[in-house]
Amino acid sequence: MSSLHTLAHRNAAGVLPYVAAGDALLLIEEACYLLAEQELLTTLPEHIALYVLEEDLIARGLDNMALPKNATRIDYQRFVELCCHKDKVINWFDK
Amino acid sequence: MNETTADATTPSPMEMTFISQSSPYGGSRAQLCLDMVLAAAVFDQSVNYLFLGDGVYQLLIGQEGDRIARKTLSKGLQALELYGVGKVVVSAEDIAQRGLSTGDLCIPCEALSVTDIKAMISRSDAVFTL
Repeated sequence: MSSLHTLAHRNAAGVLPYVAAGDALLLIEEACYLLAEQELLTTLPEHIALYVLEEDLIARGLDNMALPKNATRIDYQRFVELCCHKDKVINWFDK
Repeated sequence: MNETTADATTPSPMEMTFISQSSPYGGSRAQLCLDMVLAAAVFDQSVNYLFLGDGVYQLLIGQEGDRIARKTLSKGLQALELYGVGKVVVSAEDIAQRGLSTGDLCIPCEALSVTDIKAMISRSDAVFTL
């Protein structure tokens, strides 16, 4: 089964181990800041599609930040489409 | 969806995984997750109850929540067996990191590796994290 993981906080280290090959990882809310940290990219397993919600980037003034090559900006419509295309959605919210 | 059982009125249970990541008395998330697990179990779903990170502190023996005017969470966890929740899992890595072993925990738990937990999450029909 293929899952969409939505990550809403900066503790990527606690979540990435549970993202399986073929899954998608969508950065929302505070997780947008992870794109400024190289660490996320080096620890991201292969075959994981990486997305970031542009509304949250723009809201934080991160709109002009150079995105890593493997990250795709998506809007709310693509977010909904992703939810529909995956078997399930797993929300990793802040503790 | 095709029913595998003869009784078409009874849908086959879903495999649901509940991930509890919060310590027991820092907020209400630990209790809320337990409530969700018990509700799912009442409806005969196949439930995995998974404790990650600081969530493993919910399982410590000897809690006395009444000292701080709270319900003792570990007492509620004793009800899991009664509700038919057999699959209680902790991250082996996360308990070791906190200097604990399964012997320190108030109910029988299976300590699984990150790889096995990832497989469990992946095969579940629904996953909730609190």
